[in-house]
Amino acid sequence: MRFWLLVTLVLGCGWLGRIASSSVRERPRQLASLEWAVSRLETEINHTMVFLPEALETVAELAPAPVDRLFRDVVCMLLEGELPLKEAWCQAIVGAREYLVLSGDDERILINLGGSLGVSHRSDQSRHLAMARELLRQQESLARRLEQQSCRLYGALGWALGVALALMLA
Amino acid sequence: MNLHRGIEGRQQELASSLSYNQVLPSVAGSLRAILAKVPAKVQAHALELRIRQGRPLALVIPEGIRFVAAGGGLSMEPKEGYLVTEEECRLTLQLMTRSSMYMVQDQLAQGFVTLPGGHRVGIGGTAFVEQGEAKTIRDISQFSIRIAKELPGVASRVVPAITDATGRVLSTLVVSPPGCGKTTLIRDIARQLSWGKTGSWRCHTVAIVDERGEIAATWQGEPQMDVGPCTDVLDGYPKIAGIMVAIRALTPEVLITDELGTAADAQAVIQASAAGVAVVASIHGSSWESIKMRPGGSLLAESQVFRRLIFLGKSRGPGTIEKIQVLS
Repeated sequence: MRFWLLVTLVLGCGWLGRIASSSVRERPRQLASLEWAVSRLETEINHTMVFLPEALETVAELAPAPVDRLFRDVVCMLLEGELPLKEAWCQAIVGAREYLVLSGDDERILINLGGSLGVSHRSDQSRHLAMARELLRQQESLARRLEQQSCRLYGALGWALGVALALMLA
Repeated sequence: MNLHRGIEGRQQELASSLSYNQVLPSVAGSLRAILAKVPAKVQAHALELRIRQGRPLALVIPEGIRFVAAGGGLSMEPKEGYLVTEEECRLTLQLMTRSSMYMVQDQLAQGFVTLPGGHRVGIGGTAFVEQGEAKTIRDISQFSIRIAKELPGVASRVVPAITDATGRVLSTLVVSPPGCGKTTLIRDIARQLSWGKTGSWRCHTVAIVDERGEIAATWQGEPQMDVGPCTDVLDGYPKIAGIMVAIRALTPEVLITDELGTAADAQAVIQASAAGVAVVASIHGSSWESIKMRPGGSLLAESQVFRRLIFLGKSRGPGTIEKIQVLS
């Protein structure tokens, strides 16, 4: 019985390490999706020339999961809640903490973008979107470096912690 | 006859009330709730809605300006009106532009946006000027919403006067100060000419150059106002470019456009007329003499493009046809 409890403890810690490493692995992928989504939004605003709610809706339809949900939430809040766009955008980003693994810096880039979306002329929109895309790209490359460094480390730490605890309890 | 007029009047009242309600989704929810409480009879006759930050909410009705209290009651006393907040102005702007200032940047630079249904909103704020030209407006805090009304039949008296014995349409200029129903009249002229009237006049191919989207109120490609089955609408085109496209591409018999102003507008109209197209247009003014004093007006007078002048006024309410003048 005691043996099986210790095995469960080791497996549990290993699993926790795996979860920690999976969020590190997931972040660059999500940042790349966001980069793509911002780029698509720029196309919708500058070339397809549609209103922002329709542009966000198109991005929500085309963006990979789970990033699509962020855009869908903004559109829903805009259409139903009659919130100022900036506020709807912020609320959607806060809500996205449940399904996106973004860092504080990543969120700040998106929140800043929300403050300028739709409030100026087309060339200015283009500049803001290009800047957000560039910053997301930088975050993505940092996240990839972090992934290489930390992914195995988290996994190994999980197992090591489990074994250490098991030895102490044994 | 009286019964018929009564039914017609009630139908027009209902249509006007619908126009008022069409505007409400474009204002902030808190203002919408107040405006929805305004008595239905007033809603039906409302001409303009004025929203100004930090000042009382106001309605313009044929009797003059009335201030709207928080409970929807009307007063002539400004102090009794509901004071509009900054947040309400910000939300109203967001709703009017659908969170997309970039889509209306050209209209904004000219000081207006057009709402679905053809309602024109005059926008007030601080102009951002570049090389002497207003590029855009910031700190937008005033909205003057002109409630567009579709009044089928208002041109019934006019159309026979602007067609000759052979049924050909004569170029016509509708003249009046702002708010006297020029757009409503030329819209109905377009409708009646396009539909034709058995025994009176045939169907005409009509092209509308709708620079501000007020005549046909086109929404996602479809005119929201009845402008007739044989009418093409060039929506959002700058007037001069639109007139040229209409002549070259649409081969209209009648070309309709709103609010001529500049000498360049006049030149474009002269060109259309030289191409054999009858032009029905409107212009701000109170008399033919006052129009001729402006550069565009003098050009129009010299060219003798227009054969009929229709003067509108408010002597019996907005849209009163004061005079139809025949020019030789």
